[in-house]
Amino acid sequence: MSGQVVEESVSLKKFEREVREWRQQSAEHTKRGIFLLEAEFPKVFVVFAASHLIPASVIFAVEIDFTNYNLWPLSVRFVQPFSRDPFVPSNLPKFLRISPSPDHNPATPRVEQAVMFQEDKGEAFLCMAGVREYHNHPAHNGDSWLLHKGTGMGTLFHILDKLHEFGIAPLASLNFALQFQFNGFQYGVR
Amino acid sequence: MKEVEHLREELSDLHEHHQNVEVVVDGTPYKVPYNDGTSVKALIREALQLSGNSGRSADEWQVKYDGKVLDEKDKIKDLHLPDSAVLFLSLRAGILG
Repeated sequence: MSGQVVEESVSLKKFEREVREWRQQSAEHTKRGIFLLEAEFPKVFVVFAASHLIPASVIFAVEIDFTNYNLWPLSVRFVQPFSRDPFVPSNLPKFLRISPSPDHNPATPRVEQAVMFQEDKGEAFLCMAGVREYHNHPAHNGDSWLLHKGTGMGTLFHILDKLHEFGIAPLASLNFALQFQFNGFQYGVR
Repeated sequence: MKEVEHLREELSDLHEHHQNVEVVVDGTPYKVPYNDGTSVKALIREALQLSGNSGRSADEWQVKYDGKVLDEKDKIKDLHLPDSAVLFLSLRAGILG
């Protein structure tokens, strides 16, 4: 799908309203580590940090595209926070929904992946109803965006909230690996 | 049925001796009344009613405070929210992948 099919002023109005509403709560969003840094129609650039970790760490960023919104759902593109290069499978953090297993055994929680790569290559996409990449995917052609539009799903707030829920909230700690290597001797007079 | 009746009672009591808590419903803030008997579930219903969100059932929504999803069975008073607390109400994600 490409091209402009919705009167641009309509999408622009919705873009301005959703960005304005987000910014009205920006102090609360910042506490959670969500920073809406740029908003120039049709795109917003948002950086996510794990504010609950020590040290607090920047984890990922997304570029959200309002083209033809909301006849089309929003597009979500995962980019590295500083270079804005797309992620590859080896460097994208995991996006997980962790919930109790049916038998409520805490040792075996149910874990679902929210972000994936098409055939483990190409760009990462958020595989969730309300996101353009999900609805454009052949595996989801039975789940039309028009069934969700206007219900609270797929708004800027909804998507950023879910990205935080799956990408930031499950992070429990930073893992460090230290490696020691023998590097010869030091010499001196005894 | 019993649960629905119970929730109705909770909601009808809300406007007596109530306090308000700010709930952001899909990005828009609302002052939502609650009292000592109000559960998280009843607060969700009240917030959806105030915001005119009727497109999805209340069971499809979740409310968060400080980035964590609140248990629907908890009473609001037991959460000991500060006066400045802001809760966020958003739709659950449904099936992923």
